[in-house]
Amino acid sequence: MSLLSTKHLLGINDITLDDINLIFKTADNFMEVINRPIKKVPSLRDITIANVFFENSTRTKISFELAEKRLSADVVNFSSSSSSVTKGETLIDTVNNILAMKVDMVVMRHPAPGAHQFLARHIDANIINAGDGTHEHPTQALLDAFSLRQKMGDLNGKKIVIVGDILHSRVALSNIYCLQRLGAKVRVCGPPTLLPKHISSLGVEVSHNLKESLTWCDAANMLRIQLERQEDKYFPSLREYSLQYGVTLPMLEKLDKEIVLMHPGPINRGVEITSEVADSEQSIILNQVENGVAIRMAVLYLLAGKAND
Amino acid sequence: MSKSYIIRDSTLVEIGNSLHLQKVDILIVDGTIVEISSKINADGKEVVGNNLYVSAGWVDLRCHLTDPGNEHKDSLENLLDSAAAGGFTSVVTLPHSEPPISDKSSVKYLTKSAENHVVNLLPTGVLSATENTENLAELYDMNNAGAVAFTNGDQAVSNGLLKKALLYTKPFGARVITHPSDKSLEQGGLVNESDVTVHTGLKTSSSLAEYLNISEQIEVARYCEASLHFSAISTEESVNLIRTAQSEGVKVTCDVAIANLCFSDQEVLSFDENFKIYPPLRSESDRQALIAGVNDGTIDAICSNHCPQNIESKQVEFDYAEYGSLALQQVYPWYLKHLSNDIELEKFIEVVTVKPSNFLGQESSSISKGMKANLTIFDKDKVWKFDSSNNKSTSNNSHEWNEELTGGIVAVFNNNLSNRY
Repeated sequence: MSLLSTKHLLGINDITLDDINLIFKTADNFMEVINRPIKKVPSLRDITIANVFFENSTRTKISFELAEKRLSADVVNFSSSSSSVTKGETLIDTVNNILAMKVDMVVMRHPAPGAHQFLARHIDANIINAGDGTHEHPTQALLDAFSLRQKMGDLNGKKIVIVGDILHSRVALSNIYCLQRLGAKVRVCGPPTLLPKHISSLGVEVSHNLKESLTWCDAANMLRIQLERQEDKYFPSLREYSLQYGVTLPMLEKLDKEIVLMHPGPINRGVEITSEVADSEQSIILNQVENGVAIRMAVLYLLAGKAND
Repeated sequence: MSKSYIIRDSTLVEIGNSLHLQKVDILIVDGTIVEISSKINADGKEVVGNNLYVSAGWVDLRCHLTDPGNEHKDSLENLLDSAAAGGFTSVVTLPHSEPPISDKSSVKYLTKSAENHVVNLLPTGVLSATENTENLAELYDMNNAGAVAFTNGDQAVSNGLLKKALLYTKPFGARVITHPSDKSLEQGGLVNESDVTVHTGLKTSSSLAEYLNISEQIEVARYCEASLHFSAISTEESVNLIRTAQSEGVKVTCDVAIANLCFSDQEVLSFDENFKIYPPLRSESDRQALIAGVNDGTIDAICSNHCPQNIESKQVEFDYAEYGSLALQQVYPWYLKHLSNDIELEKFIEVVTVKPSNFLGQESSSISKGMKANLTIFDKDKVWKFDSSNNKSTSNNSHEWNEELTGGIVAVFNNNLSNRY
């Protein structure tokens, strides 16, 4: 059995192209599994996984839980909308308490960037990052690239634009690393107040012009406006944001080619994209969700293999 | 009965001294240097090492004060012991204890508590009362009680308050220190804004926040025709602005924290909370500019920026960790490991002895016969472990905890007292 080069999945920046390709290959197999009448394999029946979510999540949490259950793992869930710090218990204590119940893997979402790196220094279990603040969301990037590859084939040389709030997004950073590893050309597009000043140092193009970026790209990943992560206002109103950076059907119809539309969800309909676009043929938003389960099964399966060594 | 010590076979480092960079023995009797020569035959406790150097006692212009109020992070006694073990015989403390040092009695609490210690504690007081940050604190009274300077530490100082403070303190010659930073530009950033930290997703703070405020405060100092000291500068532009202002005759001085000279923002890629310090670690180009600023004399002093934090406030996620790192005991090992190729030993000694002493208006101690012994003796080859047996602080917030360090302090002499390690 081939395995990943790392013990944890902390971020795409920590894994190799070989790891990504292996995850995709494994996910291809699991895609077949989850489309069977009996969508379950016994691979992780000796493994207990804790889903520890310190931030609200619907689809990521369900996706991980489904992936775990389809691999026959035992699953426990811990959710807290506030961080452990505000409750007076440290992250290490919270997770160690869970591990004391003989948990093998921890899937964690946490509002603080680097929380998983911190945890990895203090506990022994495999850790999977389900989103750490404004840093990384590796499984989202993997399922995004996997979905694009399903739709467009090899991503080498393909042009992908990531639109919106890059500054507060963990999806953007992970997507940039992942797509670049796969040979795609990446551009970010958004208002200058929502782009990190040094973002071009990652080797991405920077644009503030959505229409021109749609003409340039083969696929557009429309990020969710993270109003909950903005302490200051970075633009005057959602209406004005949408006027400049929202995708409408007439805009797509004016293009001389058909581009692929993505969104990590949940969509603010009428802000990042209109309902017509979200529900159009060009949108692969629901494919992303479906593929998310297969990708997470692949990651869990490969990392658990490492844990059993 | 008299106390005698002989420092053996030690290279004397003091620019201007006729014995500069010569190997000497030094005899100290009852706190006074009574003989310096190549070989002394006398009775006394011997200070020996493998590769010894001796300089005037070191002076730190910036360390954080946790007593009163946060004794669980560090006590005053432990702070002074950390200073001594790091080679410092004088330390200037920031005023933000709880409550802050804001009146005569709190200044006296510090000076009284530090009596009979080998380290001189030189307290600063706050510039402005905490309840109204635009009103001056009782600076004259605190000055008379022994406060060596006035500062609001890392808190913002408005240009209006700074102008008042610079003008008001002129008649009694008190020093004003600021750490400039425009809080509206910092926007709560935890790390430097750069092409390195863009990988972390951490909230960033642009160097613009510091140097823009420095450029404004230089103009305030120019207008008031007053002296102003910038504490813990961290950016290339800050060095350039201060260099230019100095050449134009504006009376501005500055210091830099040892960590900002030794490390760049590359360190935060590991999310090691011990590198969450303030001011934040900047880009490599900033680090190089700071080194150049020390070498060309723009920067007057290297300070420790020593900041003890208890484990509960430090061993948490980077976002939630308090700022600060221990540094007093690491200054010399860090110099050897990270700076000795770029900053000559005699320059390093100058910026931890005579130049900060001059800033404080204190007579610089001289290593010569008949002078009071205020000395730091350090061994370039000493290898020691930074662990609970050697750490003098109550806290252990250091990225080098339990690691072996090269270069150590062997003894300090001051106030007719000595500590040996």
